[in-house]
Amino acid sequence: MTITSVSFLVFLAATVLVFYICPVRFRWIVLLVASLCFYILAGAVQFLPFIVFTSLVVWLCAFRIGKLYEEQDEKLRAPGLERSQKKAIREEYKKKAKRFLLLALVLCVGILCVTKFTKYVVNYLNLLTQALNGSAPFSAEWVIVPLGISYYTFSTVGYLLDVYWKRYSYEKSFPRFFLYAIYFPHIIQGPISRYNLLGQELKKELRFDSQRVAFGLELMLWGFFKKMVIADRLNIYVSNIYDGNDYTGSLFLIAAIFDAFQIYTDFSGYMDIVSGASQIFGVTLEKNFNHPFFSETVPEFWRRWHMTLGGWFKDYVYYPCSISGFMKSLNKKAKSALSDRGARFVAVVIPVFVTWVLTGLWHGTGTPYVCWGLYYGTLITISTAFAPEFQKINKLLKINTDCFSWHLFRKLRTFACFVGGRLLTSPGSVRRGLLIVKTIIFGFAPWYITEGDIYNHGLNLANFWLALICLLVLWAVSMMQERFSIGEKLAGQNIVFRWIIIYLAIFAILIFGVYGIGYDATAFLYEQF
Amino acid sequence: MLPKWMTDMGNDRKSLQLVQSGINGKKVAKAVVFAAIFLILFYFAQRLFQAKWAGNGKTTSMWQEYTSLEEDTVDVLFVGTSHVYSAIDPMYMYENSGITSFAISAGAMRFDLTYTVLQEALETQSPKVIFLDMSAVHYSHQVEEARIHPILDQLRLSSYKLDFILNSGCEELTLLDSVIPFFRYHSRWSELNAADFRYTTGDLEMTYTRGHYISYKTVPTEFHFYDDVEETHGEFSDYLSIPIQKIAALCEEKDIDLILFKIPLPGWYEYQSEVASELADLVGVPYLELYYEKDEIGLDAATDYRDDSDHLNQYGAEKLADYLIEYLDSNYDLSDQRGINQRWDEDAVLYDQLKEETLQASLYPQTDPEAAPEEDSVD
Repeated sequence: MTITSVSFLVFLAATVLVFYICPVRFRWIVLLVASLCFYILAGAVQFLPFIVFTSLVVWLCAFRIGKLYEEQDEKLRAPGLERSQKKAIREEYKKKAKRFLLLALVLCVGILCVTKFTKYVVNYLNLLTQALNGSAPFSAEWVIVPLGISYYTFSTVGYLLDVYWKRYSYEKSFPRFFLYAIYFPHIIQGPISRYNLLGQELKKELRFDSQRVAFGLELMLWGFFKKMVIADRLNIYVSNIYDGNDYTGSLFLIAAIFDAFQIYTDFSGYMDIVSGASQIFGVTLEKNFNHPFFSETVPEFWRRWHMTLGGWFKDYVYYPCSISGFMKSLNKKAKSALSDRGARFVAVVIPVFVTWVLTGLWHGTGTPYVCWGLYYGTLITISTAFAPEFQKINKLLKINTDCFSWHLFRKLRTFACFVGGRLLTSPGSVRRGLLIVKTIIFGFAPWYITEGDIYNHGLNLANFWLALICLLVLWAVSMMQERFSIGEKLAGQNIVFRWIIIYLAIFAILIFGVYGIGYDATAFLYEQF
Repeated sequence: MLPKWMTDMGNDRKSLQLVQSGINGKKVAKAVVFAAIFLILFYFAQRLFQAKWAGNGKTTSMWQEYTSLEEDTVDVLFVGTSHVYSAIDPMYMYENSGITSFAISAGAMRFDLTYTVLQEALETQSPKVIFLDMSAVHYSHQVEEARIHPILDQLRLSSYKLDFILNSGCEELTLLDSVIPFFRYHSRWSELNAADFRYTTGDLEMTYTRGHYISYKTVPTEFHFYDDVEETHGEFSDYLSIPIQKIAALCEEKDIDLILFKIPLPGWYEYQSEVASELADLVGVPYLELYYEKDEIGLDAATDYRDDSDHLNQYGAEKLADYLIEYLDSNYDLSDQRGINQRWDEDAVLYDQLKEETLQASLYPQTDPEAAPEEDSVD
């Protein structure tokens, strides 16, 4: 059962019906049962033990850590304690808590690493043994990747760390915690929810609100449009070109641009569908996209793209890395050996690269993803470390930085950077990506566009132009969303106009959607993580 | 509470506070009206997008014509593959004998689908004889989804149709696509034509050839008799014998004489004929291998076929019709309906006009291309 299938809509409708028939106090149980059913119907019944295990380990360890902190607080409240005694108590309990933290991290992150990296490691070991004695003795066929493992592991580990760092208290009920981990709108592709937000959302009284349900359905419609009409249509062209060989630079360039829009509409479309579905139940999911293609810098882009993943890495990797003992001592040495600016550079560059290489490895294993991480680490380091130089250049060249054309240039530059990053991973290998870049630069051959060859690669004339029109619609809607709430505006219109717009949206999806015989069914790109 | 971003598609705290009500009658009524309008629009959209095989001899028009006939007015049914609509000319037979017959056929229609179609066809007509074409005897057991829809789409939703969909063995043929063809054909948006739009509010133009496809195109060929091909069929495959047995049982139940027959094709394999004959023996019905009768029929390979797929053209179809009239006259007591059934008499006039126009178009293709129907290739 995929999220764009009819069976999902039937499943959702049935869940909504049962959900609102049940008394309010039992509704979270309906969501728990529905989430389990969804996981099983998604063909992941064999992976159920993994998510149960991870959730149980995290919940138990967080529970123990929470209890330890309670004991610690109890002891600290004892009258007449010296400051040093209090410190000793804190250290003692921190040490105990750390054991549980490490246990859970080793188990949960260990499972994640084994499932994600074993194939990669085995591949390299085989290459090594093949070079040495001509045999490939290792096999990784036993490795399975449980559905949604990257998402639920990050969500639950984030909760564990927050409890350990005393950001909020632990969850006493395992079923409640398990619902947070397996909640069906976010289990397959995120967002990577924080327990203090989603966990609390799932605990509140979930009552029916027709307006909210309507808004949720509208959001789902927009998501279906982005996924089924735009992403899956662009995918036909992109796959066709990237899978082929003898193409010219002009066709590769179009494919690279389409690929960027495809991944955006695919992923953000999914987010809109699941956020809308969740909204029907009265549960708000965290925002994952905020019109990233309107970003003027790469750091801004990543604050608008896959925001929950960026936030997770910032809170649980970047900051801890920045304030780690190693970094503190390194900064000290840097300050004595380098200028202030040089020391600041050192302080930034290592956490940035660690964060981005790990972000790359989260997206996939292999050289392309490591290169991808290094690519963004470099871009972000350059943009932050050399910002004063860039400003000087602008002043020197007397560039007006407060006009439309400058902002447009910055947006296009950021978009180009994103396309460059995609070219490292999307074509399958770094070498192929570089070959495509080379072909774009040295073999552009624009006559392949003007002579109509672009229509021979999966999208005929009508479908190609429809794709372009849909991208225009995407741009227009995004512009409007930047300024005001479309749903709110729509809700303020007369019923006839409102319904016409909704019918148009529904039929646009039904007619122009890429589904069924004649189109290749396309899985959501982020499901693989 | 909802954060600001959720208001991107239209939500905010204020509006939620304004409408903190539950389900009431007005909202339910609104939802019902919304759904009703959607269903009406969807119905018309489905008619617009649904693939149509329009024209004499083509499946949508053929089935429309068949179901428009007065009940129990067809005495003979010919059922089978594209060879049937090419070779069987019911109107010619009617004009020359008064026998009312109909050719229900579709390109590459397998026996299991033929059985389903027959079940539906016999809901409105009670023929005395059914001729089942055995051309499908050599078809692979692999089913092509695209071959099924032209005829299956025409059938109303019934237990017969559902039974076929669920047991066809064709993975691409889904219940959803068959019940709601819009999902199968929505990608036709870029090829919609005037006929598609006209069809949303009315039926296709009524045809009158009783399922026959008129073609005067001639592709000279030769008769090839392959009796030295070593083919062993062993036990009948289920996909052949089971539907034939079902068809035989259906005919027996309805008191209809079933005849298995093979239209004479230039390229002919003896072992196929043996299979067909043994199938006839299996169900205890006669088998007419008309290849052996080709000389008696008067077929000329140089003039009576229209394409490389061995389909008879109009010249061949009329010779075969003469033979079949004689066969029916000798074996059955079928009444002469000429002058009795007004619809058939009127359609016969239209049929003659169409034949003449098609003939002229094939003789003088450059004179007036608009004057005659296009001689397109159908299989």
